[in-house]
Amino acid sequence: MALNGNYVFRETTANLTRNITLTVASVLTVFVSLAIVGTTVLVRQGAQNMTRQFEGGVEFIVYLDPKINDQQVAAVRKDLEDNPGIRKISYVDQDDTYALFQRLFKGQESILRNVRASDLPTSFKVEPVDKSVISVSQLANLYSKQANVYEVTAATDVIREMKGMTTFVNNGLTLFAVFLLVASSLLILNTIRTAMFARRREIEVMKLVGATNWFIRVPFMLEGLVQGLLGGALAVGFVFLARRWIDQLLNRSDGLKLLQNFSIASSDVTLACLIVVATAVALSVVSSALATRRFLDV
Amino acid sequence: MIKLENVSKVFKGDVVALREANCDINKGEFVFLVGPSGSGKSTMIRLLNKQDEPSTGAIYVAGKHIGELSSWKVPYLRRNIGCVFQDYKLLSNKTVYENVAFALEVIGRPRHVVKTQVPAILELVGLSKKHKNYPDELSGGEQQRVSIARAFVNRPLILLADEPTGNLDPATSVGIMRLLDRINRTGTTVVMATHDRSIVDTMRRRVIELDRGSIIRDQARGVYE
Repeated sequence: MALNGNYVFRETTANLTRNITLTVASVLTVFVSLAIVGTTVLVRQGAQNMTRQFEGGVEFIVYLDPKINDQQVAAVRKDLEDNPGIRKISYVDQDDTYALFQRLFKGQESILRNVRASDLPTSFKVEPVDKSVISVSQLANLYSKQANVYEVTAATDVIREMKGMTTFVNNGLTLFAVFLLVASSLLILNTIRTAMFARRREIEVMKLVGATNWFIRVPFMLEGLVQGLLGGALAVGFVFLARRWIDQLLNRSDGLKLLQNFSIASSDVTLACLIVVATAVALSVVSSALATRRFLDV
Repeated sequence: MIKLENVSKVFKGDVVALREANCDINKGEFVFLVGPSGSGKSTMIRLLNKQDEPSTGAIYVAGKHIGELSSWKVPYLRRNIGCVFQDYKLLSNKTVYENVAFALEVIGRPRHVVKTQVPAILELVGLSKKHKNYPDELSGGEQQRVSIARAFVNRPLILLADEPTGNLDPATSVGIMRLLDRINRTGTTVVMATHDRSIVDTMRRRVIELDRGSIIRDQARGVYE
């Protein structure tokens, strides 16, 4: 099959512009559904970033005042170790904290420039014996009033909040996105079928003079792919915009708040964009392949 | 060149379009398929370029059993078989030149081939001056010439014509037949379904007569009846 690039380009653009209303409808539906997919990924990743610190039974984190010295740290450590209600503690030093911080805000120069390692509080991750809400909040309360402690974040508040949010995101938005993805696939499929139907005379002649099925198919499949990619590109734009909005909600100068808050790393944005583009390609290729199966039987 | 062995075609509802047909057509022959409407002429033509599959029997084209041809090879079979129809099947949004060039472009012929072949074939069918016209600006006879040009531009081994003069007046039909005769004399095998008695009687070529799906006569240098 010798495919002439000029021919393919001409036919694909003609198909796309011939039925501009349908094309726009497909592109917009793809955009909306993939924007939801991308946002879902962002929110999920952000929630994960936030709750990751509470993995492995850690129920609250005691953030220490960034300005205290080693003896003071040791005092807090001893206090925690001596408490029978606490099973295990682990110390996160300044370097580890800064590494985490850098990973979370990779690529966000303005934030990285504003916050230095020395601004970040070191912390003890604490795993209590009794993990019930009451006992955890009692312990957290106790330590938040201690000297040299900057703040205590209990998993109970944060994780509960995030769990609720991720459940909503996972179930609600994902379901919504699935419906929209199905709708956009069907729209692409329908757009291509319409284009093929409009050109059935040409297709018939092509088949009779011996054009291969792929030769006939490719411009139509490309039409579907272009629709998918246009929608995907818009959705990628939306993902970046969504990230900007979330960033604007963050407090950029307070290192602790940045760590505690819901935050989205650049790698999360990349992941969201990759998923969006991959979904766009998969969706349009499958719809196009399905659409071009018909009308080829002469 | 073309061989039918016990070929039958039964459509849904037990409509027998072709019954146990046997024939052998040599390279360079000119064959008329005659018979009343519904006798199976068009079915036979459609079977030859695999637009339809026979229910039973074997069809050989250029030595190949086309029933055993895998579907991706069918386009290559069709490149050796030109087709002309009663209703021309021209594309109304393309000019005469574009209609003919289209047949070469879609089988991937390079541009320089298109640029030399299309004017040559339009010269042959006598439409050089109208290459910029659209089909609806042409007479029926001219449209059929474009359709023949399109069928023949790739120099196929076989030309199938299903009632090519069916919509044309007798004088115009004579012109079309002259053209088909000329194409036949280049060595192209021509199979033409028709019920135009005067054409068959004037040309005196091989005649295969069909009646309700059966071949009832196969006569060299025959007449319509």
